[in-house]
Amino acid sequence: MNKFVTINDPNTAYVNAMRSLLSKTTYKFATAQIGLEFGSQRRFSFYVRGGVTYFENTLSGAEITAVAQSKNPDPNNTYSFGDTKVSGILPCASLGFNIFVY
Amino acid sequence: MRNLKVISLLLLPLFGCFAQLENSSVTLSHNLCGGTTTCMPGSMPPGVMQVTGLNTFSVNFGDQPLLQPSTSVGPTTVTTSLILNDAAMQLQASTGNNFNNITGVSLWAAPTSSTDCTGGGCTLLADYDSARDGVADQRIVLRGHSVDLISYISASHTLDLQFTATGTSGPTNAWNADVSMDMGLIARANFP
Repeated sequence: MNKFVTINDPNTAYVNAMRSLLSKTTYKFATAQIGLEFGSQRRFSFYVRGGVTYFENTLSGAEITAVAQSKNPDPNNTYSFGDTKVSGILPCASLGFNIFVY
Repeated sequence: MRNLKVISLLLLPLFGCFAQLENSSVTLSHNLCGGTTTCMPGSMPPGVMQVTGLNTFSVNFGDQPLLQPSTSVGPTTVTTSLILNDAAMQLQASTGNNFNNITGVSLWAAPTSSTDCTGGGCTLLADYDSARDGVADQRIVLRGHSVDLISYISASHTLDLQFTATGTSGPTNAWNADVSMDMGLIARANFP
């Protein structure tokens, strides 16, 4: 995710912790789409599809703890996070073409 | 008309779109006196547990992402809740001290550092009752009242808390303790 997300913060410990958190982002997803397809099933077809996608991801508690600790201003405080579930249903669309060679 | 119904039906799932971050175990531990000093007087009478002479103590959450009631992210707004599950007070290792003579402890969100929550005006976050929870020795666990802490965290990221106690007296000698709060965090953005 670091290729897509830019973290601007003067706190380098926070930036490093966020980069570490985002460096291993794996997720499960399921997508449902409907659409239109134009062309021929013999040579070339073009499609436009839209729908919704469900995704689910678990972030490491240790890495989130490092992020929180990097923003902790009080040495008398200690953060501890369990694993964090990130989920959602989002709109999705796809645009593409098929070339039938056989 | 029929086409309109079909299109509406197809678009309906888009109105249920969301993204959510959920963590049922966020623990913040705070040392009352700071380090190993013992700022709490021995044989403290029941009532407000003063910390370094003040009715309240302040916990600074820091400028954490999402730790505010709402955060604008692009075209949407993320709303956050931080529910207190339970809290605990762990006596720091010291000889001859215990919480045996304390029969009840309440943790309050206080509006100001001079407020005395025994007189009202505070929000009860968690409580301990020795008859219900058993006699405490080195550790007191307070049951949470499912209060959302996010609205009590100030713009400077601090939460003013106060302990009040019932019983005959606190630990015999001067003491210090680690206070921990176990919370559940949910941050959610709805689309559109």
